[in-house]
This record gives sequence, C-alpha cells and structure tokens, in this order.
Amino acid sequence: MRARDREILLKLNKEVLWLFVTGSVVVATLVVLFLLRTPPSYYEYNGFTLGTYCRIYVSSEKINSKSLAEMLFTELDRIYKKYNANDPESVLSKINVSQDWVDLDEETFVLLDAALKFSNMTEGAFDPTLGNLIHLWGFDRLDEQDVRVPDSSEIEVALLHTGYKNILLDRQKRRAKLLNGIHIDLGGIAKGYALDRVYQIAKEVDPDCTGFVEAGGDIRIIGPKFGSRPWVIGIRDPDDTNECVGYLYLDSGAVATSGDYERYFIVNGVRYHHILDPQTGYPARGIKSATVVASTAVTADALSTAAFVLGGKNWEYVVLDFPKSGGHVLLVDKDRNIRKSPSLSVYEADR
Amino acid sequence: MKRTGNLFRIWDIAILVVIFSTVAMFFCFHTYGEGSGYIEVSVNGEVVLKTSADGVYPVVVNGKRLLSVVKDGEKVRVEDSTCPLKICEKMGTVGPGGVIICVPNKVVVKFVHTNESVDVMTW
Repeated sequence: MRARDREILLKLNKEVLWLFVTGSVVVATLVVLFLLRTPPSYYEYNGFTLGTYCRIYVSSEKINSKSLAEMLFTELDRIYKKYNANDPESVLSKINVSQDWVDLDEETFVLLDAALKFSNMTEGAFDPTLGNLIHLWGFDRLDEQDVRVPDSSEIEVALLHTGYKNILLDRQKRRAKLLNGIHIDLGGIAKGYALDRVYQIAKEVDPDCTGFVEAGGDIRIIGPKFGSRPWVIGIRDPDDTNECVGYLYLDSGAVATSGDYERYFIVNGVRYHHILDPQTGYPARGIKSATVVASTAVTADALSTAAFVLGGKNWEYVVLDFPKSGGHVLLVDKDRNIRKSPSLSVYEADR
Repeated sequence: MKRTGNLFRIWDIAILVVIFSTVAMFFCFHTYGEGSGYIEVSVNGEVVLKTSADGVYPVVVNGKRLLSVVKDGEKVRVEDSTCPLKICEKMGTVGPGGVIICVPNKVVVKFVHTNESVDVMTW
C-alpha cells in the first residue's frame, strides 16, 4: 500500500472513530436525561390519627398534591373520630352504651356488616366485639396508662361479654342491637376501611393520581409509582427493626401486618401484646407477625388480625385457605419460620 | 504539523479524556450526589428537627421534654422517653430508611435517605 493511501485510510478511520465517540456521548447523555427526567412531584403528609402514625404520599397533576394529601388526612381523622370507642361522642360509643336498637347511618351499617362478614369467614378469629377484654388489658388507651395482666377470673367474666353473634343487624330498618353487654371495638378493621375510603376519594378527585397511604404499617396503594412502577414494600422483621423478612411489589391493592411488637408490655419476662385471642381472652400465641396482601385494605386489615390469631394453631389453614377469601398471607412464627401462601409469589416479583 | 502516522495525536487523547471524565462525573453526580442521610423528627405531624449532624437532641413541646433522639453516624435511637411502655426505646437503633414511632407522645423519628431501596414498610 502506498504511503498516501495509508494516510487517507488513517484519516478515514479517525473520522469514523470520532463520529462513533461523539455519537456514543450524545446517546449516553440522552439516555441519562431520559432516565433522570423530572418525575411527578410527590407530596408527603405525616400526622397522627386512627390511633397511630399516618403517612400520605401522593401526586396529582389535576389538583395540588398538598391539598389532596390534606383532604385525605381529614377523611382519615373523620373516620377515627366517628369510630373511636374511647370518645363518648362517637357513633360507636352511642351504639355500645345503648341497650336497644340503634339507627345507623349507611356508612356505619356497611362497616359493621363487613366486620361480621369477616367474623363469619374466619369463624370468630376476627371478632369486633372484644371491647370489654381490650379495656380490661388497658390496650384501648393510647397513652399506655393502666396496662396490666388481668386476673383469670376477670378474663372469664369479660369473655362472657364478647362474641360477634351478639351483634344483631336489621337490614330492613338499617339498625343494630348489641346483646349480652358486648362492646364493639373496630380497631381490627377501621384502619383498613379508612384507607379504602381515602383511596375512593383520591380517585374521585383525580383518577390518575398516584402514591400510597400508610396508617400504622397498613398500606393502601393509590396508584403506581410515577404512574408505571410498583411500590417496593418491605415486610418488617419482627425481631429487627432494620431488617425485612421479604419484599412486596404492589402497584395496586393493599397490605396489612399484625405484629406482637406494636403494642405490648413485659411482665416477668413474658410479652403481653394487644392482639387478643377471642377464645382465650389472652394475647394470641405462636405467631410474631402476620402480613396479608389483598385487593382492599379492609380485607387485608381484618384478615391479618385473623391470620395472627389462627396462625399459631393451624398455619396450613391460614396460608392455604385465606387466599380463597382474597388474602395472601406471610406468617413469621415464634421460631422465625416463614410460612407463605403460594399465591403470594405474584407480589414478590418485580414486574 | 507533521503527521505521525498514529491513530491518535496527544491532543486527541486529551480531548477524549476530558469527554469521558465529564460523562463519568455527570453519572457520579446524579447517582451519589443525593445520597447523604439525615434525621427528621416530627411531633403530631409537625417537623421540629431536621439534621444530619451527630448528637443528642431533646424533643421538647410546650416546655415539656418528651424524649431524646440520639444520632450516631448511620444509626438513630430514642432514649429517656416519658411514655409508659417505652416501646420507642425498645425498638433500638434504626438505620437509613428506618422509622421510630412513639404513639403516646405522637413523635415520629425518621432516618431519611434519598437512595432507599424500599419505598415503605409494612409492620
């Protein structure tokens, strides 16, 4: 090859190389700019209601995200006040103190009906009539004053005044009556109901809004992350706040966890927590945490309580049968064994 | 200038180095620039403290001390809480992304970290 030809070839090669380098830089920059483009702006609202810490994380392009978050918190707080058994002015207190039929508004009737449906479904493992027992243990007070281990005789007496079959609902006249001096406590379902309500409101205001609402570890997805990605949800390790026993990827639906570490006290080395077994009147044993994924928060909330109560007695039933009712379960038992519904795997893979 | 016959001249190499360094710095800036964590303490939903500095921070509302927050590097914990059951203290230390909640005092201590792999925890 002549020297001049070699020089032309070299120059050509250089131009091609420069073109390649410049093109690569331009493409890389465009890719980075695309990936790092400004995502929808999320507004985070933190507050205390429903007897716990609540976090609202929403984004809307239709209305101001902050206004939406405040609107949702107002709704959470409204439901808390309406069904707070400790507030004598609440709707629930008025039902509890009455010895006769009480006319119900539509919302309360639907909520009580749902509570009874879950009680029947779980054969009483979820029971909204444990108000007397919860009060006896002192778990009804958020200030944590007066918690104690009651005498067995006190528990026996309190158990006489429990049982979901003591709630009578009159569908025609939309009213309720409580028998045998029972007291309703909706702590195992009201949070879930409130989360579903704020989901409905958010979607009425802006069908395209996204985000999630959390109330004491129960989570209702409002819409996918940035409109297209699932939210990554860690399931807390009951023995280590910093660790997770699993991860869920949800772009819709809800998840709730019941754990023995939420409210508890220790006497003589024994941990007494707030999830009571309706059969014994004592804290349910055998399970450290029960997590349930469902399409609605009310289902996840009620079934997580029932899963916690039943899981220590018959975990196979819980993980295999609850999915038929729409709840996909992960249990962590007292020996740290993890039991899962096979159907839960759908939510454990990043899609 | 005399052609050397090589593919690159010294200035070509220098320009290439500058281009690749710039791109690398751009990536690093966006990947790690927001990574530093800080703690955020709120009482009844209102943020009362936000800091990345280590130290012991008493949380006082209306002249009443509720608890103290201790930040030590990548860990934060609560001590000397006035709540009866001390569940917030028993939670021990949490790292980036962790949250400590004191329900009776309505205090939330969050270790905020912008590169969290988990969006929210169920507990």
